[in-house]
Amino acid sequence: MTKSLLGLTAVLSLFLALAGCRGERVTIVTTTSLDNSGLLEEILPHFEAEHGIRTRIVAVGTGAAIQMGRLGETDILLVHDPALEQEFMDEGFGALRQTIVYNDFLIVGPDALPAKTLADALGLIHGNLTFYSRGDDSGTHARELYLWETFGYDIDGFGGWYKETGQGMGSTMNMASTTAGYTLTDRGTYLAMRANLHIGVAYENPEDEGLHNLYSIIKVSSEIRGGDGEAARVFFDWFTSAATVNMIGEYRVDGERLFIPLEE
Amino acid sequence: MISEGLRTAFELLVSFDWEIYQIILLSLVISLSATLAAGVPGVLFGILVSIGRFKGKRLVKVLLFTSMGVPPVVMGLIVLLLAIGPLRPLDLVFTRTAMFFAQFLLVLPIIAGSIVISSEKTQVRVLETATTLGARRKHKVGLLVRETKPFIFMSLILAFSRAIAEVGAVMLVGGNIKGETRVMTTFIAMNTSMGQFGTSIAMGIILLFVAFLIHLALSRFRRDFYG
Repeated sequence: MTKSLLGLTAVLSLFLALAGCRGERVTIVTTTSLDNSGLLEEILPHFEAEHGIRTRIVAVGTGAAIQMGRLGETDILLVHDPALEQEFMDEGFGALRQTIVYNDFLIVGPDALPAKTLADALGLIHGNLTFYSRGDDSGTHARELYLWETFGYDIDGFGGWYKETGQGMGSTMNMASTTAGYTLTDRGTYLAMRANLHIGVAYENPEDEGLHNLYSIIKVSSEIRGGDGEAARVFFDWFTSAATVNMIGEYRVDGERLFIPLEE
Repeated sequence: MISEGLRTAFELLVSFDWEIYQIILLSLVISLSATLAAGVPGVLFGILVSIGRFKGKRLVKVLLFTSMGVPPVVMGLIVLLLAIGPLRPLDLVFTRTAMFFAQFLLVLPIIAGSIVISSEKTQVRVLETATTLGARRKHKVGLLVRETKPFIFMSLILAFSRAIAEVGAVMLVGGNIKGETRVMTTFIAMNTSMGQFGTSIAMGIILLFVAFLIHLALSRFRRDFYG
């Protein structure tokens, strides 16, 4: 018994030691919305094949992503909160930043809202329909708060129809789906999850700049991250190259484009 | 980070922010009530399995011990599927009732299983002695429960610890809705995902402190157990 336990421990330790081996590797912290879209799984193998550098993705909310950047836990950030990103750069944590692509936010729910404008749509929801807010300081949450504020609403006065989940986009959209509620989501996550949802598009307007969702790549400063940052630099150059941006622009889920290059 | 957490914990507590107290209180009410409610059927089932002589007893014990390890998130999923399926008319989705229900089911096998593990031998001995001395059935039951008491106490402590510490089930069936279904563990998970590690550590410290206070209170009148 003792012998076999010792043997098992030895095998497990060996396994852990092997798993810990590392070659050159780039750590990418990204938002859940980007991770849910399936884009990175599609394009990163191209990078690994071209440059022989392995990648590792950690998906968290934008707030946590920025925090991990500050702590030097990552080489690259892929995020979508321009104000927070600017702050991060101003504080000297980022070496390089470029906004690459955008898509749009839309409101999903059990029924299409009979609204011509975003203001109408929010007006129909306010006080009448169950609305789930991310409530987690994410990029999407920041945008939602901005929109309510822009159209003259005061969140603090909202009643029981307005529910803050404090969870990621996927969980929050599932909660809306389960209870026939409404929520604001990025198009990428919606398309990736559409097959399993009982709710659909309630309001969309890709022309409305208030609903535009800008994605940026940030290379964390080498002084913060440690190391020479060479692999991260290679990744940044590859990600922002015309060929890669083109590839991202062509990425489709169910025949729909998820991201539109800023150049277009 | 830890010392910052201690400071933040102190600030959270003395800020008299109603929201924080509400979160702590809700955690306690749900986990305590789920533990106590599961206590009666759990203990009875545990005693029955311990003293019972029936075919398939080994299988029952294997199943019982297996279900002690059901991941909270799986239990949450089961309750959620029930709530949006057959129990839909009850309107349980993302409610405190659903959280209670999930934790109740989660700790039920823990109570029954730990009773079997810890006191099976004691119970069998008590039963044999009682039978030898010619005790009546009614007295046997009373005797069994009395002799199992310290083990019951232990099983409830285990169950409560499991309930107050789990996050998977209450997150799934409660939804961590602010002011409605947010408890200490989902608050911690949420703040961690937001990168607010200090606040998370602070609430973690508060959670442990609350558990400490509970044990301190219990140790006053259960000297046999803590002595």
